[in-house]
Amino acid sequence: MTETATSRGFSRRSFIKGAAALTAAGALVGCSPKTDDKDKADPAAVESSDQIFSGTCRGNCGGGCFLNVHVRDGQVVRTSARDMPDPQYNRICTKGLTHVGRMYGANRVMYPMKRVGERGSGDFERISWDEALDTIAEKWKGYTEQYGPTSIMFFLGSGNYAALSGSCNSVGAYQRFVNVMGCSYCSLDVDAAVGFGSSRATGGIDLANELTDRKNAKTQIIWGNNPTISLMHTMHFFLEAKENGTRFVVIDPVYNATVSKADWWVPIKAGTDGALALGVLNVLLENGWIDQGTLRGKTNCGLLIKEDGAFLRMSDLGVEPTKGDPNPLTGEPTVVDPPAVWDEAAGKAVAFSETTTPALEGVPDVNGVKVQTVYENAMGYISEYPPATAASVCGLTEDHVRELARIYHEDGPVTTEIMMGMNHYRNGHYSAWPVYLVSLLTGNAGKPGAAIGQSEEYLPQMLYSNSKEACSPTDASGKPCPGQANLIHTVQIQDVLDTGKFLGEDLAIKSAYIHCSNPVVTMCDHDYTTGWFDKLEFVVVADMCMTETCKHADIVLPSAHWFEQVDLGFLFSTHPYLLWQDKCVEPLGEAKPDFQIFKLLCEKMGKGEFWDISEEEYLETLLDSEYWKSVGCTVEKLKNDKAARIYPEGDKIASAEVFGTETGRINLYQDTVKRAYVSAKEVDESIERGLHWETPTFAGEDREYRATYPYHLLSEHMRTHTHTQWWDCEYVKEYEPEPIVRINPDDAAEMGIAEGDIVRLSNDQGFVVMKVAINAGLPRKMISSARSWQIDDFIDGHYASLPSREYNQVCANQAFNDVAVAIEKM
Amino acid sequence: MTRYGMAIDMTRCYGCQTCAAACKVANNLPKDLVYNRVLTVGGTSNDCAAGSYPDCTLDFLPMQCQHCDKPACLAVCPTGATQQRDDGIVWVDNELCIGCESCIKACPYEGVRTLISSEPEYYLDVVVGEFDAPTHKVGTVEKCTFCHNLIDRGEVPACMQLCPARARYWGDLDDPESDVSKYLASREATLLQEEDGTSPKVSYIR
Repeated sequence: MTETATSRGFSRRSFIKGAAALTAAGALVGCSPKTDDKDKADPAAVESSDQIFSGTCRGNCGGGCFLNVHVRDGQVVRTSARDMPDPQYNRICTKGLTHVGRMYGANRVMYPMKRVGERGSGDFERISWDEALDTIAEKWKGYTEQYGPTSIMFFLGSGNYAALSGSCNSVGAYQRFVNVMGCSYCSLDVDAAVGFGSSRATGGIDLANELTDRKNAKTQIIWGNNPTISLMHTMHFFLEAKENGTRFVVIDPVYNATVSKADWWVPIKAGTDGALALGVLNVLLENGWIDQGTLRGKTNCGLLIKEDGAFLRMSDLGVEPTKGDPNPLTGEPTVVDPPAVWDEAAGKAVAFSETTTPALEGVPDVNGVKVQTVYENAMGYISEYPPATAASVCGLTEDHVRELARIYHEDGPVTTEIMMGMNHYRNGHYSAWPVYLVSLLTGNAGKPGAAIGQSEEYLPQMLYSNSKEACSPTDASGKPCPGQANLIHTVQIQDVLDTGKFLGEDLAIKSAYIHCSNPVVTMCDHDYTTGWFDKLEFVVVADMCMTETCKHADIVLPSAHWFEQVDLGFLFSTHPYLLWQDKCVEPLGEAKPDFQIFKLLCEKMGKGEFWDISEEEYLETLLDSEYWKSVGCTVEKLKNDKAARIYPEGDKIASAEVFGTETGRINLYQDTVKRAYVSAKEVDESIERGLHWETPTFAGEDREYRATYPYHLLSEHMRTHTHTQWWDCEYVKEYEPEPIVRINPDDAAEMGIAEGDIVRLSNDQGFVVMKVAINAGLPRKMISSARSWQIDDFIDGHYASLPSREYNQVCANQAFNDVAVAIEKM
Repeated sequence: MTRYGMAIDMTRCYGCQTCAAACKVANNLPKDLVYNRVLTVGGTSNDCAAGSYPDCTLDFLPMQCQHCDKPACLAVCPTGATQQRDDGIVWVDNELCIGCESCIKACPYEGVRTLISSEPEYYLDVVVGEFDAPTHKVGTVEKCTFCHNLIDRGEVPACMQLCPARARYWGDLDDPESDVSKYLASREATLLQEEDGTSPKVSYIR
């Protein structure tokens, strides 16, 4: 169905009016601004006959905007904001408004191409779909025969958060392709530190409230997040709350547009968030602002730690473990061996759930076993960060630390909004744990106005979709598809290619398929990425435009633009809706929806029976669950209304009653250390079990690295790119035409650098050359630049060559902000 | 009498350029033509603060033709190309415009008008924007039209369709019930260069 409507949004009245215009005033069709015959008659009589379709913008900026796609003569001519069911969520930006620049730009991939020059050269030749598919199938069949299906590696980015042709982690149709192929899978490991670190406190539960709840907060704390650039559609909720009396606090090293709106700014030294949080915890505990009831009843502070670092469990006291509910993933029964606490009244150790008054300190040896409480362990660490120390590490005053503690204690409910500021450090998870504890231990979660986390919505989609059926099909005889073979991390690929081994097992990776991703630009360590990329024998990249990654491919497949296909906007939007994408126009050139490309590849590989499914059938299967039915998210509703809410009506308020931890309580210590990735390296678990903090690995002011590379380089988002997307759109270059590095004016003066000068940023990994902009909002010795440009955009070098690819010992995370460089004027 | 005007809340605006991009595409503007832009009030470059860290300032000023009640451009136009509609919108008839730049010189505001000095070039080979977007002719001067093509169809100017910050208010200044009038009644607004006496119809809240 299409609609004819005003660009303010579709309404039934305008649909009827428009429909009349379509039939009665057909002569208007084809009126275009370039025909020079615009009549001078009363323009009020003229009505647009453009067709309006429903669209969704979904390139992982967190916006997930609902769009009107205006079509004239089979071509998109404009995009505008479309009314959401709750108009507070209406949104669009420079990117959503300039899709025409991507769809019809010079870099659009129109046809299948094969590389005829060097990798990276961009020398390609048009080929037919038949030749492209035959070539891929021949190569892949050969590799599969010789090395098995794991010789093909699927690589996923975040370039399109739609369910069919997109990149929706583990629930999108791409996962069906991976499972059918039984191939290897490479994870790009981004934005992982905060989730990894905070889940130590929370067990991974969602503690974020819906954006419409910000009005209920007495204080809103933006911690390591610059929503005016990175999540611009969340900002009006904050500003409205501020005008309504909510105090707007921003913790950020840079005076940016968000800070310019703040009631109070905490100009923290970058990367020291954990030290600040530990200082705040210190003040909270010193003042008795965390009540005993919370510590005893809501945290695991009473648990007893043995000298080996493990919890004293009831089995240590002779109580046989029991069988618990089967593990939902493996079906295996779980073992229940509860940790013990010291029951003060009874003077003995009991299972943690059996007393509400566990001892927090001074527990004697239990059955001759020396123990320490979690409280003592945490206090031991927190006591190392009195406010003076924290202030010194963070470049703040003691008053900053004390005031922040007071706010969390007295000025609640507090909503704490966290994004990528502290997330993009190699050791960011050490910061996230204490930051979450500040909010949780002061009761600032699980209530209206009280929350912590990020505002992107994804949990119902991940938890309650029928991805098992949608992504793991069976063949005609009911035999399941092989399933994803493994999980490789980017940091490991080179080693796999060099040794032919992965975690001790043979693994020969020969080919990669790149979907919704531009890893050559977005992954840390450009030389490393191009190194492993070019070592692969055969690379296929599917994309809309000729990215830097495409230029390293053997075959480039033309992916249809988002508006050229039916799809469903599904994940990681800062609004609570699934949004329907109409097919608005035919794909340009010979482009095809990725969903169809997967089908063709399956057929060519002799696995067509696993892809006997239409777009709508896939979506119906995906949404076939009790949860989606309970909230009315059905394909039928989406086709009719174009939007469906993922939660019941009313502000979504997270629950903070039961945490996802073993005890269901807030953790200040864990005795089992989860690893986000498996590596052969030895892990020092002693710093992972309890609270621990350290300065950023490269950018920390105390690090030797900074002596050689004196500038901390903060990696920013751009207003006009979503990661690298829109690099190909000329319109947005009017606002951000080229890469720039922003420098504090005093630093610039010291180096004799002026606005517009060219500088070379370098460290022991690589270099990049770009123009300077002077920004007084930056502290001394800190510079910032966007990581969203292609190699040809730089005067020389590559921005992605500066950050290190190496991960923390347990957390796999691309550390875009943990970078230090030297600056040289050119 | 209808008298269209606009109010922009600078305490809300965070410089996202959405209004500028909406204008650019809806009006099918060629490469070097801009009706509407968001200026950074701070450092020299976009989004850069002024001051001395941590005592900084950073503001944003959306800027376009102010559609003055007493437009300085109107009086000086030698051909009658610059006209004012009954609803107060100031527009340039590019059939009559000879590109003499008198209006550019007379206007107290910098950078809101552009002389198209060479054959317009477009980013794309395809024509985009509203079907009745303005035509763009070499040797003529263009500026913000308040999207009168959209207004005449009962819509709002492209820049008003969705401001992410909810910083823009639009409507009939003579109608106390319009969005802009109601908003202005509740806030203290300033006009840009009021002393020039042109009575602009874009108000700013600082």
